[in-house]
Parts: sequence; C-alpha cells; structure tokens
Amino acid sequence: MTYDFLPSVAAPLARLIQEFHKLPGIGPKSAQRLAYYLIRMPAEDAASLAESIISVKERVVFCGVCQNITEESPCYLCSHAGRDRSRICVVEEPLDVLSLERTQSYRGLYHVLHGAISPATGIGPENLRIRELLERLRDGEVSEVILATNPSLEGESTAMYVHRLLSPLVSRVTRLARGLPVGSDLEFADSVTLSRALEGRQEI
Amino acid sequence: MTTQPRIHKTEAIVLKHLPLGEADYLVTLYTPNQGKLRAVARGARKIKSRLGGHLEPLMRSSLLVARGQSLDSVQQAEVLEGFRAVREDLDRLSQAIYMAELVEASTPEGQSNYPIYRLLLETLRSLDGPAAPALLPHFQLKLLGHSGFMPELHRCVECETPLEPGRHRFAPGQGGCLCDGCHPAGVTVLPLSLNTLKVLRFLQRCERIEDAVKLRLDDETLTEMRRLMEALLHYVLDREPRGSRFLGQVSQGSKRGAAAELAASAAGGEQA
Ligand SMILES: [Zn+2]
Ligand SMILES: [Zn+2]
Repeated sequence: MTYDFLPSVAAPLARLIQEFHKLPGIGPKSAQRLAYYLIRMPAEDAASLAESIISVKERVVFCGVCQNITEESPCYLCSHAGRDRSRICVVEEPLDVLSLERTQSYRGLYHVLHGAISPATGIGPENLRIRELLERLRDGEVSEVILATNPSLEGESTAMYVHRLLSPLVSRVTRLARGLPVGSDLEFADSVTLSRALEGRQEI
Repeated sequence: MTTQPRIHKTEAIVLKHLPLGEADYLVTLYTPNQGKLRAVARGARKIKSRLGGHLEPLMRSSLLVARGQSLDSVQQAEVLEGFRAVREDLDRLSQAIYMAELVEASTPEGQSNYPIYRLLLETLRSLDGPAAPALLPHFQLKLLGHSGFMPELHRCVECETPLEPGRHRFAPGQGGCLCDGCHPAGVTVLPLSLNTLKVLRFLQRCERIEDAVKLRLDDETLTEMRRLMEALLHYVLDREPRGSRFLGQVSQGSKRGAAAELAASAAGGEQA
C-alpha cells in the first residue's frame, strides 16, 4: 500500500505511516495516528525508540536450542543448571514461555514453534520450528514432551501434527488439560470445552 | 434489495476465522439462507470470551448477527454441533479444513445456496463417524455440481459421442471426459481408468450421503480420483486451495514419520 495519493503529507511522514501500516493489527488510521504522535514526541524519546528498534535487530537472536528470542544462545533457561532437562514444553510464541514461567509450577525446558499451523493464512508445518524440536529428541534424554499450544483450531492441529511426528521418539507426550477458564461462567461455556472439562475432572 | 432488520438470527457453519486487531476474529460463516457471510466477533480471542468457544471453525452454531456499516458483527453465539471427533483426529481435521476452504473459495458472499449448506453439514456429520474414504471425493464432486461445474462423465466434451468403456481420458480445463479419438490442442489431459469413471458416475447420481459413506475404494482409485478432482477444482477456483497442501502433508507425514523427517532435515532438504 502506498500513500502517494496524499500529496499534502510530507514525504518522510508518508514513509513513516507506510512503515507502521506494515505492522500486524495496524490499519491505515492507526498508522497515521502513531506517526503524528511521533512527530509531537521529544526528540530524545524518538531517538531512543529508533535506537531500540535497531538494537533489537542487532542484538537479539534465536536460541539455538529452544528457539526462544534471547540475547545469547543458548538462552538463560536452556543453560540454567536448575532446570529439569527431561521435559520439554512446546509453545506457539515466546510470550507463552513468560506466561508459563509466571505460574512457577514448571521446571523443565521449552521449545518455541513461532506460530501454529493455519491453512487459512497459508502457514504450514514447514514454516514452524518443528525440525529443531525433533533434533532435540534425538539423543533420548527427554522423557516427556508437553504440548502447550492454544486450544484453538490452529493450536489443536499443530499439537496433533507434532504429536504424530514425535511419538516414536519420546516415551511420553502430554497435552495441557483443556477446561474452563477461571472466573468464567458455566452457562456460557461451549459444549466442546464443557465435555472436555468433564472428562478432565479431578478429586477434590 | 429488501430492507433487513438490524439484528437477525441464523444458524451457520464457521468456515474460518482470521485474527483482527487486538482481540477480535473476523469469521467467515456459511448459512442456510444467506450463503457466505463475514462478520466480526469482538473479543473472541480472549480466553474468557463468551463468543470464542462457540465460533471456532467447523462448528455449527446458532447466532445473533447485527448489521454494521462496513462489517456485520456477531452478538451472541451458541454451538449446536462441535464435531469433536473431527476436531480431535488429524486426518479428519485436515480434510474438514480443506472442505471448508473449498466452500469459502467457491461461493460468492451473500448468495444463498442451500444444497451447499446441506452438503457441508452432512459431510461434517459423516466425517464425525467411522472412516469413509469416498467422503472427500463425494464432497468435491457434489460441491462442483452445486456450483454449476459438474463434470461431464458420459460423453466426450469435444465430439459429444457417448464414451466407450476403457476408451476415455479426463480434461479438467474442458470440464469433463474426452474420448480417445479427440486431441484438442493445448489441453491438459489426465488418465482416467474405467474403475474411477464408474465410481465418479456412482457419486454423481448418489442422492444420499449414506451411500457414499458405504463405498469401499482401493488406494489406486482413491489416488486417481483425488488427482482428477484437485485438477478440476484448481481450474474452477483458478488457484490451488491451501488446505490441499496441508492435507498432503498430513497423509505424507504419517507415512514417512519422524525418522524420514529428521533425515530430510539433516540433508537440509525441503519437503516436497
Ligand atoms: Zn533456549
Ligand atoms: Zn471425442
């Protein structure tokens, strides 16, 4: 998309609007709003933003083991002596690692796929870091893989696809329990979630 | 154009969803009376959303839809059929995703086509049951028929003489069979065995999906039929559906398994 139909906009500003528009979830209106906001920003704040964008591209790498985003490879979690190396928890996105770490109930390692299979948007298994996961299972040190992809169609497809590939390589493959979110109302739960929650019931 | 009430109730099969903004989904629905519709489901990506779980692709749901200026929006949703067995089996799921994509790609927005709705619903219900290899080719052929592209299976599309057993080929771009005497220039021709032709004719006149479900097919016929249907759909849709690639990867991946996947990665090769 180009903005050359807007002759009243100064060229550097038009370029900035275009750059913002490339970002996910940013429409033309939001792109304009962000660009005008930046113009009114103090020069040092703008410089700091620009500098942080450059340094993120220069200094941030993918961990050679878990594929998470990190400053050095292997990352902090992969090189931490206190982690249980016999478990790998597979997630879609780096942010999912943070969510799981916040629970403080998991001490194993992670693997970030960087997405989920989505035929609707053209993302296939070859676009995810699945091979890197299979490589990690080669030496037989891992005894459990936990599939923690989202409970959406894309996440489920990914979990099933990955499960099929790695079941010959690891003795135990588990999936996060799918139940009712805390604070939700039973009345509004869908039948698939409810029946799964019923199956996953526990003694109290 | 008739005036529509601002909020209306409809049932629909969710064909697909795409993330929109921070927490919304743009859902593509197939309805019995209005054909394909697109609507925004606000907040549906939030884990506590009252809509989300009722609007996952391949669910049949009862909806309240509000007309908007640029986009309609789903106000309420309640799942009627979740097709859980389809959702929890990779082979069935990849087939269902592909079928939903075919409906999405072959139908115009807002144009009612009840036979397509019924076909999709009955196929999802059958797919939720025991394995039936003819379901997918049956779906493809019927969908083409309901869209006005039923291939000619009895006469040569070029010279119009009735086909003789064993002397026939298939020309997807011409919309049907060719006799072995016709060789139009610049036309893609695929082999068509007598057995496959018979199965296609059976599926064409098959009125109840139960009859297609009962059909047993050998691998050779299935492979040939799949190639023909995909070539025909490719021609009709003018593109290769993305889901067909995933379908191929799923069936191929299960045959090759992880060992081959690793060998391929060691060689640095790409999947075919
Ligand atoms: Zn790491
Ligand atoms: Zn002929």
